[in-house]
Amino acid sequence: MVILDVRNLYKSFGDFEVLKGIDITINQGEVVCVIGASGSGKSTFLRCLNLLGEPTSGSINFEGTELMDLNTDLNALRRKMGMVFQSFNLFDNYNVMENLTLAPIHVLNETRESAEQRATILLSKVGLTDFSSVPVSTLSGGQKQRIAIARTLMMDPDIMLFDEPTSALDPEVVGDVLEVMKELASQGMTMVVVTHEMGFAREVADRVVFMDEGVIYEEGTPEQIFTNPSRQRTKEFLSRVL
Amino acid sequence: MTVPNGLLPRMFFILEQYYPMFLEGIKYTIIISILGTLFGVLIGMILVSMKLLNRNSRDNVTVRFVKYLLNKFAVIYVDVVRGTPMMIQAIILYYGFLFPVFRMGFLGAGVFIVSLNTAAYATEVLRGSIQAIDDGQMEAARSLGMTNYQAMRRVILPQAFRNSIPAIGNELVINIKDSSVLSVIGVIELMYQSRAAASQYFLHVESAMVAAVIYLILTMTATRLLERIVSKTGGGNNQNSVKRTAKNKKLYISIPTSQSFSRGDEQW
Repeated sequence: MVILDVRNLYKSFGDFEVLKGIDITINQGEVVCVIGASGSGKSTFLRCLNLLGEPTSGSINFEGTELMDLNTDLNALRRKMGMVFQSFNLFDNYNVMENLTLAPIHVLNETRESAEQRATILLSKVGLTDFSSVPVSTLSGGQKQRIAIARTLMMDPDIMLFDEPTSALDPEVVGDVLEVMKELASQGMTMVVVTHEMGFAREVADRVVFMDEGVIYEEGTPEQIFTNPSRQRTKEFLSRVL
Repeated sequence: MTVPNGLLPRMFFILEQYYPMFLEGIKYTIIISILGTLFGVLIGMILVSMKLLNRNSRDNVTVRFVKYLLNKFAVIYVDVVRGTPMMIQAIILYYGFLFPVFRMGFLGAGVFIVSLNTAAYATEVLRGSIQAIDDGQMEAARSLGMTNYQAMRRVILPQAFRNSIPAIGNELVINIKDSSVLSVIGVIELMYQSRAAASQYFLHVESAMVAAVIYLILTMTATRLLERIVSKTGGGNNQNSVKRTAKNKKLYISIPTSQSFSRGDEQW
């Protein structure tokens, strides 16, 4: 079943065209990893999917609703599209528990008790059981990112967008975060992951998308892309990063 | 009554003769500067939300136009108020509107004028603090489905306001001194009283010295009190108030000192 259908997506910053016509269809339960060099438009593409960055033109259909339609209630749709950021973006003025429960309480109108109950379960799933009353500023990067993933999961999203979730982490904690993401993938979460972690892409992705200069240059199974890329730029890129 | 010789004896002479007037002046100065700062910050909050209205393509034409007007109003207000002396503002407002139209008394007029003046500076202080908050905070909030208003109310403003406490304290200290210009419209604050006290014996220097010492005491006291408040609330810093080390504590006390009294650098 198709969950997200992107057609002819263009995005410019002023005169500078970053995305030059992206077409991609993402199915329910699929894990798509987006790879490519810096400046190829990966992050811009991901941020366009929930309209944090507004595309210049094109169509984004999410679960049957057109996001580019000006009458669409974006806030309602964003609840169903979780996003995890490179720099975590935990709310600095709240502790861990409040970070998790803020949106459920104010956006979903859930009671505090019920939200905290769910948050406690999620905290144990990401391995941070005892951290509920800790101010987020005291957490390490790896802990922050796991909290950020839990915060997103609190909204019970249908798809999760990861924007280089491990790029700001110390090497020794990257594994903790990837472990949580693998767990999510194994539970059938639909995921779009912009990443430089080729190992993760190879192991977890159902499909790997290689972006170059604002277009999808090549896509295929991890097997095809990593062991037998068919096009020149993909080969060059992989030979540099692998 | 014979006037003694020497600066200090004459200052004490003035005080002795007129201390009830000075006390009343102090009372007015304190009331006007505290209320003026308070209301000024409240008006500043309204102005800054007008100034930072985001015009997005999903609004219809009317909404966009209204947002444009509100934004322009706030921009012009801040420019005009910051670009003209408060003394002139006081004269225009008092003789132009407050007295003929509203029959507003001196105290009310004083608070009114200081509030409107402070609002312009508070707007810029708050704008600076809001824009200093990392964009990621807003993005994270919006990505969870919060509206712009919810994100501002729950995430951005609490952080921004906490960060602007030191600068707002600075405004209070400035207002204690700058409310002296209200003497031109006859508000019986400290400066007005000191000039009244000077006239009978022609002791202008001595009387002004007395007023200066009182202003100094008031501003120093306000500064010390604000330092305490800031170090208690952790204002000026993004952290939650738990687990703060003694070493870090020093950093929080960066509020107005006598060197930072002057206006014009709201982003210090």
